[in-house]
Amino acid sequence: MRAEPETSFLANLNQNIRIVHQVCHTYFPRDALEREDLFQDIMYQLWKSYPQFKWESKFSTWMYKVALNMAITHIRRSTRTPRNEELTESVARAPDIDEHMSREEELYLLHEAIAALTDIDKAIILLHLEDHNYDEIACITGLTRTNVSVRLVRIKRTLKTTFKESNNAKEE
Amino acid sequence: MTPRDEIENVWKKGKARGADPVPVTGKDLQAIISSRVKKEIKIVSQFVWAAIVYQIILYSFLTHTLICHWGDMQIMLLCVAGGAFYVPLTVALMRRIRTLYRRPSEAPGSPVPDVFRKVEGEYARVADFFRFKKRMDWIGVPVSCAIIVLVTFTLFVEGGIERNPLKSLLAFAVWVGLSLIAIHAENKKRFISPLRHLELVLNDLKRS
Repeated sequence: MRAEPETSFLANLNQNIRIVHQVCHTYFPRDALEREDLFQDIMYQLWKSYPQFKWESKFSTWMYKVALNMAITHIRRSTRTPRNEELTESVARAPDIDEHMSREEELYLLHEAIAALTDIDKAIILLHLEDHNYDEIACITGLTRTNVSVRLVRIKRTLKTTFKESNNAKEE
Repeated sequence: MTPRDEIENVWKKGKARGADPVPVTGKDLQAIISSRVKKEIKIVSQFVWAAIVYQIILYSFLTHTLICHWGDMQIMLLCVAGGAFYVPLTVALMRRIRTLYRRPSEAPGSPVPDVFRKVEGEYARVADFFRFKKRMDWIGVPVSCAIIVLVTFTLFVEGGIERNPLKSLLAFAVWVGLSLIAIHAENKKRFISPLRHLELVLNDLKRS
């Protein structure tokens, strides 16, 4: 890639860099090494695919497509059990305020509930939570609009149950 | 507040509280690219090495024997026949490896596929190569083992295969067995596990 396209690539990338972090976090919430590996794979794939990007869709939609494709087809480095790092990290970051702590825990429980979903369901809920409409989700995943809406109902029901159970367990 | 809102609210509040990610600089990008290029080359070389190691052993063995026994027509013919049988297999394997590792995005003008097409494409690509490799292993391994045992017994064992049919058969069986164990372990790591993962995702996509 020449200097000028690289500058425009970096500018567009940095405006939407949160997408890459979110995808990595959704697929590897507890394994920093896998997350870093996936992050680099996505960045490399984005850089390689950018010359073919024709601005026929939003840059963010294209980024989601590349990132989710990489996350779903990413070959896991190993089958080792990852260390449970995230709660420790978030607790360490959080100030010593009960309300803040409870929000951090809630977010942690939500990530845990999402982590239990299948790879495709993770993609669908992530896109939904990031305010993509059914048509955009269908375009990125390759499912039909009807499929997306049916699956979202099912995913939300599952998340609701898991989230509620985790919350109850926490309160006990 | 409905439970649905609860989930969305937790997500949005978490997002709002999260610190802005550090922007990627040109230097970071270059470092990532060079690290990924190295990784890609390493993966491909490891794979090529694993896939053609058998051919390398066989070619070295045949060349060495041919040079050492230059003039012995029976041995020379055996070595040349073994090499001639294997060259097309090696060429076919190298072609397939090139196809396997050529990423779809490298084709000029190809747009990024959606998740369904991407998974379907990846599955087809890996499964196609695996089918070819299995066929090649089933033909190539017994034939190469037979050539090695045949040449070894003819050259180094008194009486050759004719006088030692059981021993040569046993050597052939052990060689084939060990090769198949090594090949199975390699296949599991590079093909069976990734294919199982892709198949699960594909089934999940088709289920809806």
